[in-house]
Amino acid sequence: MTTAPPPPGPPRPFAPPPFVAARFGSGLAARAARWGKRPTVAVSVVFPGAGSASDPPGHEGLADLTADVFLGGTRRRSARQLAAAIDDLAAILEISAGSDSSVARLFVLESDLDAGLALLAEVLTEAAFPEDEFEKSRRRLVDTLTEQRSEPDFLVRERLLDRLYPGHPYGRLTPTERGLGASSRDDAARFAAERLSLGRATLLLSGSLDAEHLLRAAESVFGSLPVPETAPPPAVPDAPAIPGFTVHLVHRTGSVQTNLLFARPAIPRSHPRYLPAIAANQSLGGGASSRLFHVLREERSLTYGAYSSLSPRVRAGHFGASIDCRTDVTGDALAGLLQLIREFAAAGPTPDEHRRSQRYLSGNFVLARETPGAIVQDEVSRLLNGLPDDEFATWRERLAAVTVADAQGAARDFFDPSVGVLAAVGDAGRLRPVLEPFGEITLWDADGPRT
Amino acid sequence: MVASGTPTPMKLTFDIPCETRTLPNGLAVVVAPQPGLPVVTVDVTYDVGSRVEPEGKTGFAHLFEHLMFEGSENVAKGEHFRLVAEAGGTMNGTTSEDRTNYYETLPAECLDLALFLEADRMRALVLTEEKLRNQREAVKEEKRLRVDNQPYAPSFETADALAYDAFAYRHPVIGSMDDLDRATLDDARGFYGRYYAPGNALLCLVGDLDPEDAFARALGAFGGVPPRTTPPPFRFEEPAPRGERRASVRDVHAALPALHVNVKGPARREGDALALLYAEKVLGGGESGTLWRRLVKDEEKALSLSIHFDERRGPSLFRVFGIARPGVPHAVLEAGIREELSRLAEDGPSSAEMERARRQLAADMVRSTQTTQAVAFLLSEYGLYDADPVLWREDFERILTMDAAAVREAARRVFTPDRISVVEVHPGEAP
Repeated sequence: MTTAPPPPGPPRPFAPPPFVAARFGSGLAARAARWGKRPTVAVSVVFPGAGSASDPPGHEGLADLTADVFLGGTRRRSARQLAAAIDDLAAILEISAGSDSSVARLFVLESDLDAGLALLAEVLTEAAFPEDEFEKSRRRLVDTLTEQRSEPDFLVRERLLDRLYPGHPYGRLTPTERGLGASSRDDAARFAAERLSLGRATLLLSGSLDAEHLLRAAESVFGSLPVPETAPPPAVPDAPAIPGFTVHLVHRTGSVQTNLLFARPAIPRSHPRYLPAIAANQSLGGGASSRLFHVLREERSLTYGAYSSLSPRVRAGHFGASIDCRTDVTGDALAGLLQLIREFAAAGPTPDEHRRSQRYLSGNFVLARETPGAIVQDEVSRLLNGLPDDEFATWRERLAAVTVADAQGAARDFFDPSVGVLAAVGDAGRLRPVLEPFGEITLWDADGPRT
Repeated sequence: MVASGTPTPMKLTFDIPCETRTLPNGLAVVVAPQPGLPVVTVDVTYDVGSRVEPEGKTGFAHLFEHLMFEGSENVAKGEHFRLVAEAGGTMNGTTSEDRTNYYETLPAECLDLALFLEADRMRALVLTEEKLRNQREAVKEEKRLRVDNQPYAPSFETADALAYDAFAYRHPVIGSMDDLDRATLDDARGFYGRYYAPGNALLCLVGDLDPEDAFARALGAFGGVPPRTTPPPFRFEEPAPRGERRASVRDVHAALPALHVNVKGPARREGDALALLYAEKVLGGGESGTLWRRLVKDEEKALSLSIHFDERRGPSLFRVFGIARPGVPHAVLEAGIREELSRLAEDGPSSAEMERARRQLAADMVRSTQTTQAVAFLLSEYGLYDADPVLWREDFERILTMDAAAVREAARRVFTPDRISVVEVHPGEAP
């Protein structure tokens, strides 16, 4: 009977597929890579600068609203006809706004690639933005805000971002009701023309067909479409500094748990120390074998899970840690969480922790890239963040070169919890005295400041 | 100007080759090579789920799943997580009403590690009072996190309890706090001895592996697990439908009213089950499903609407759950749902609806089998429930050739008032 875990065999080579670049006669940039075991193709059209961070002042939510109403019909089809055409192909066609970009995504069977690309092109270049569909989208987004405010996870993230990036567009988790109300159908059409123009886009494809085949199919549809020149979007401002350590308590009636989320400013995705920071985070709270989970769940039974993460954006980023616990152990859980982060920031990972984190991240890099959609998403991220062409081809090699001193330095510089925001959601009456020792508390209701 | 094309006819355009063998101790082993990416998934599925729990012991199958990660003879507490992470892998376990599974996805060169971990806990799990206490608290916290503190989540428990008569499916997988508190170490030892025998499980290996080599490695790892008595197949009787049922609950966390309309249907693969997958797509597929389109888009009565045929080994539920728009009464949602169910039963799907649904079901199969983990789950389900992991192919062919009349007849038989249960969810505290 084997009594010790068997060692791994020799590592097998893995490299993500290279993207083949093309520029169509129209000027549109496209990139394609062959990948995947099934006859399906993933397509993305990425529009940098078309995210919610670029919402015009007073129109917070316009990027989301515009993305939503793109599928409200084209010059040739009503919303219903367009939905039927997409569903007839069993395709998924969606447009969504993130902070720094909007992305149109198409998932289609290989056999229907031409038809799927044609629909995607029609939506992107012939969207009609009908008034009635615009109003429907607006009403749905407003009602969604009402529903989201009943979810503790939403409330804690909303308050955290609001205080971590005060007055900055990264501080908004969702559209605002006021911003939605102030936006018109013409605002959406203008935002689409200026920000979601093919002149600012890159078309990305991956699937079971050769890259050249994918590019030919794309060019036959997109190659003759106009690629208008548009002005670059306004730059996202630098994130403001935040003062010390602040505590924000959101009252939620009937909560049987406390949702705790701590975060502090860290680094954007393109920062040269991003890999050391990722390695350090893995040791602290990246998974079930990391310190936070091991101590707070497995040793102390304070929670179902405790994790930390990096949330990088194009212009800024933050480090965060979260724990959900029952109300009566909130003080112990929070003290334990902050103490573990403090200790980790001071000393960083041990050499053994660092080695294990590198192995986890390196292996997981392969597992996370089984599908064409994942390969396209890598390329979206690379383009948005201005990363080099070989970012993912050399990722594991560069990770292996990160030393424990590099990770310790990243922990020291980016994880120190003496500066940051603590957001808590729960029963404010019971939590207030528990949280007071951690700092002066600002009280909130689900809808905003408590009066 | 861009011309849109015409969809191509549907056919099965890929296969998942696999082979099954049974080890001398009774463990069924399925191996499915998926060459290419150097990744492998190891999935062990035990033929035990929450349906076996008697009254007073709810939540035990899931609690036991947690204990399976707490160490075995050659794996110390916490080491399972550490070893898999160190190998660059991911792992987890899931418990449903019908089965419990444990899986690792990891670089292909680490296959032996996953086999070692799974075999060691199948052979010699180490249970202690401290581990039970620790994991009981973790599960209770999980229940607070996923059910008690979330809007609408408790109402799903009410909806199941209303729809089913037999206790097997009436109670939730997560269990009750009182029953979790009552769980003892003797319960855990008995449960392990009864249900965690190699003959009551199926091991599935999917990924970049050579089949003969994989079978040899599986035998090497699991061959030393002694055979144990395998429990008899679990059976329960769900009484025939006896009329419509209704309930109304308050939800302190909900901001908007919501409604469950559930229809009791056949077990997976039985009778009209495959036809009800069509019904799911016709009513709720994409943005042109008739029911979804009507209530969410056209009439704006629902903020969200999920339509899902929840297939089980026993009677399944055709589930419709909708969150109302502000000011929309439950009755309006309910009327819309009932009308569309009735329309499908009376008229059946149009030819366009039928072809759209056929294509969506086929595309789902393509998209949902892109990863080794998803393939392992698919083969394990058929392998454990039907003793034939490749039966998915037969079902897929039946789906591709089904006609509209079969869907209409299925809807006629299943969408009848006596099978319906309705739960209204009212925001706010009880008066």
